Amino acid sequence: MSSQNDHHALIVNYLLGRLSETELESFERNYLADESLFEELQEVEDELIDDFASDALTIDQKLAFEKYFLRSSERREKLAFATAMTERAVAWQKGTLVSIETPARDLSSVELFDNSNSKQHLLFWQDSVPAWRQWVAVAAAVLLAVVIGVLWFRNRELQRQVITTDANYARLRQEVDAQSKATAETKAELSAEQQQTQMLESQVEQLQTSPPDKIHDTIVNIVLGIDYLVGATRGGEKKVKTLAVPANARLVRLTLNVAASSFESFNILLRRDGERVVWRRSGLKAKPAGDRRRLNLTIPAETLLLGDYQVLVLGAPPEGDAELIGRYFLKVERKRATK
Amino acid sequence: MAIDRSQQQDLAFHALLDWLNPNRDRAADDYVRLHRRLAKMFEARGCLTPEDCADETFNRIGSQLIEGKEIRTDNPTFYINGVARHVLLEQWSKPVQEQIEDLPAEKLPQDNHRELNEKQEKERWHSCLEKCLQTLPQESRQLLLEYYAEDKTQKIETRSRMAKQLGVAAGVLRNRIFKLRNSLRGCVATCLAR
Repeated sequence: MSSQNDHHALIVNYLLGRLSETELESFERNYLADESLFEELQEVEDELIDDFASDALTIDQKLAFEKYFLRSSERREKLAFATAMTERAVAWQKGTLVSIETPARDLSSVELFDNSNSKQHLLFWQDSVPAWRQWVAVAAAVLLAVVIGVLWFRNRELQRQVITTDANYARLRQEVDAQSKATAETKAELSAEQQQTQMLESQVEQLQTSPPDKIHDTIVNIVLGIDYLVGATRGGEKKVKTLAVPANARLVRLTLNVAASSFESFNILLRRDGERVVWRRSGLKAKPAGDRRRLNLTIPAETLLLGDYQVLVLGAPPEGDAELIGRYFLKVERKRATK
Repeated sequence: MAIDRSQQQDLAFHALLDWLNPNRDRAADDYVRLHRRLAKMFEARGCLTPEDCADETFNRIGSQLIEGKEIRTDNPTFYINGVARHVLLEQWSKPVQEQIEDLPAEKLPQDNHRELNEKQEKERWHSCLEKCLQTLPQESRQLLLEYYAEDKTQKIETRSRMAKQLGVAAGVLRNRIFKLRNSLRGCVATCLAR
């Protein structure tokens, strides 16, 4: 347990920038070689953010968190999420407690009311009621007790019926769940078989049409010529390039042609449906290609889902702000596996 | 025959993949995985553009390979780590550059970014969060809300209680929360971008 805690503390200290150079070197060496440590690091990072959002860090940790940890924009976004989620959860918890507490409060107030009046009722009976009326009252009370008894028995019977119905319902529910599970399993098996069939069909298709030495589509290459670039100031005709990404593709190598310019480097922003930034790079150096320049980008294929994209190209001068040069329009289509 | 720089970069990239793994599929997977890990490492070390630093690390190794350098190592990650440290040292000595996100809106024409004040922004966050929470199954939603509502100063006790209630080990609970949180965060990010 202690070594687990030490390990956890080591990751926390790494994230908060509190390891010595020797510890850092050893930690990062292991981290790059060990996929499970990467996953653990991500989990601890998220927990650290949650702890900060709910004010559970020590003063030293808080300082390091604000000064060191929050330098990354991605982590700041995660903190915004954790803060909103914590607020929502606390509100939910309060809501739950109030709904439990309210009936209890109502009951106690009823009891107080009854107690305060009981004494007055007794005095009224003792002082002013004639004997015959008292006998009638006793008879009425006996009758009432009998009626209450009958009702109590009937109520108990009904309760038994409810319990039996509940048990039946639970049994039926279990049966339905079991059937749903079986159906889901059958569906999953069917889907897996369909996928396998599709894959085999594709492989057969590929074997029939491709030369035997054709490299499969692990890496997709695409060139966006300068005629596709819509300038930021002069504008230009919007041309959309269609990019077919096979399901088995791992990487997309995108080559952008831009005009020769004095920009020292370029920033690239890939936006899905014109809004959400799904990928970005900055400080890219363009390579000369004839009278133009060329930018090479390597994008994980999983980033490119079906949809419309804009590739924004920003030029960064040696000093000052980067400025938008223009944009390319891409339409991504996902193809079935071809391997 | 002379080759241009772009072709050279392609060659470097393919040399890198071959070095990572002779099987092209596995090499591409390794590339994506290692890139992700490297970027996280650069982020932890205070690099403002972690993805770019990871790119630069791989570009350098690719260039070394096509220049004929023979990199002999049992574990490529050790070598990658060494190159990454050099990239990091150079990053630290560079002047801080402006991030794309920090660019003024007028430099991104046709973006139509609305100026939202803090309150509106918060409302938007909560509305998206609410929508996304509703897409989760009841049990998962309840689990996340309980986790976020817990007193985190009593973390160990409350989590072991939650794990006991669910009949799972604490590690399983932690992993489940991690996956749920990631999925919800993705949903909220998509909702906010709309």
